[in-house]
Amino acid sequence: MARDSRSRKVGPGLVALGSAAIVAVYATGYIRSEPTEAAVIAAATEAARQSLAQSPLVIPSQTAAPTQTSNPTATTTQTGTATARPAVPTATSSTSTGVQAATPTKAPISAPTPAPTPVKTATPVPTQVVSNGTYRDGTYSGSGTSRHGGIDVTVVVNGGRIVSAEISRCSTRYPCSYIEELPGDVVTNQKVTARYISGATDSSRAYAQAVSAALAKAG
Amino acid sequence: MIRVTATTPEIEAQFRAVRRYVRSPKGRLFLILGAILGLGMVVTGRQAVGVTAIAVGTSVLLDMGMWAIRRREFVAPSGAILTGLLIGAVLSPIEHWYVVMNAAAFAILSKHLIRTRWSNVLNPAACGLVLSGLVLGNAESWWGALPDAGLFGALEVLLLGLLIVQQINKFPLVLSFLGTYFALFTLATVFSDPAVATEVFRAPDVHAAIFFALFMLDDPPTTPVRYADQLFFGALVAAVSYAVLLRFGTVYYLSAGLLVGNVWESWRRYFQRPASRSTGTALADAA
Repeated sequence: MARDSRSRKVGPGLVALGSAAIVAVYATGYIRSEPTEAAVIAAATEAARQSLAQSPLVIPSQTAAPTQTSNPTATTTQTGTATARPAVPTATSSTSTGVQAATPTKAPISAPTPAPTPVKTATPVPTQVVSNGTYRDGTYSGSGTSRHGGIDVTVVVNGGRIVSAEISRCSTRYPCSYIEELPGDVVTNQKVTARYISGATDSSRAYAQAVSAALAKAG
Repeated sequence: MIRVTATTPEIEAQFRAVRRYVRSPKGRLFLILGAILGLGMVVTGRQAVGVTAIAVGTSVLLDMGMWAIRRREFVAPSGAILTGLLIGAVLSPIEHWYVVMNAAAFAILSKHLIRTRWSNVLNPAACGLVLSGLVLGNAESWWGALPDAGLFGALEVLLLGLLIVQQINKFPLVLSFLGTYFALFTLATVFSDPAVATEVFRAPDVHAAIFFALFMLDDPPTTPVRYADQLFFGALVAAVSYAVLLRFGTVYYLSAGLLVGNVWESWRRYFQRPASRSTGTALADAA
């Protein structure tokens, strides 16, 4: 028998039949799991939408729209895609500035510029000004999920600013060390960034979803 | 037309040796893996080159050292190169260098230390990946399966992999594995929460399963020859992989399934060994 198996090869017809059966089984499983996949994608999309809606005000400094002057330490250079929100939430930022001013913190205090005066920066660099004091102080937790597992985060807000966004639980199939730089990004940018780590896209997305959920409680 | 003419018998002998190697399953696998990983490096980026180089370098050096200790002679590390390529293709391109080195070292050590009279018991690459995952908790991206190259990548892996499978006559093994694997997860979508199997049917997991079946599962020294044994072996590996993923959720579930299959095959060979050991001894010498 062993000698037969060595000398004879499986016929192409049998291989084609077996392959067709496998493709049929695979297609069935794919179709059966499609609604779940669509739900995961929808959740991720919603999380991304919320992260943009709930992140602190980011206004391109070149715009002539009413804006805020800021301490240089609060100015961050955004290297990713444009994340500037519509001008509508500006008022929200102003009110939050008031909240921040009432809270003695080390964070820089922003002073609103008179509305009619268009402010233009001297530098042509597309620097963006981040307002402060959007969130309520406290410690907030949030969860995010992906096809590879879930991530919990604990976001600490102090003086209206995000001071940490650490991963408190990581149950993804891939190690969370791959996305260890994302908490620093959140603190630096004071918002959920849309940056996904290469090779850990789903984990990055789950992290963003978790931080968005936490910030939703702080907003 | 250019004619290559051997000037000396030594060169002619070397030319014949190279031609013989290229035509052998190992040589063909080397060329095919090189083509696939070359495209993978273009798609994935230069980090993939680094992880592959570290894996191959570690495997080759350690393998040559182990052969020197065991036989006190130089043995061409052709198998170690393949082991390194496979480990490099599975581990993430952004993996730490010491994780890659450890995986390769585990693989080569298992090949030399865990063996019967006939051959090594465990698939070296699978063993390295599982041990590395257990000890260091690393991830697997399976970039070498070309999940980022779209349909073209999947077709390249499939078509080139089938050349290998056809040469080593392992179609029953591969078909049995893939059939059982997808059937179990399809049943899981019917009888339990479809979420448990969603990722298995999509990139990169589906690419990983195909790459695994074509290039790792059918390693000749550690897999059966008879068709009936191949069918059982493939189904066993698929069932164990399925169970490991659902029970533990580990990233190395495919390799873990293969190791269980390897142990079963070794046990089967031991208890179904022929009365005469002459053939086995010859095989052991050749391994």
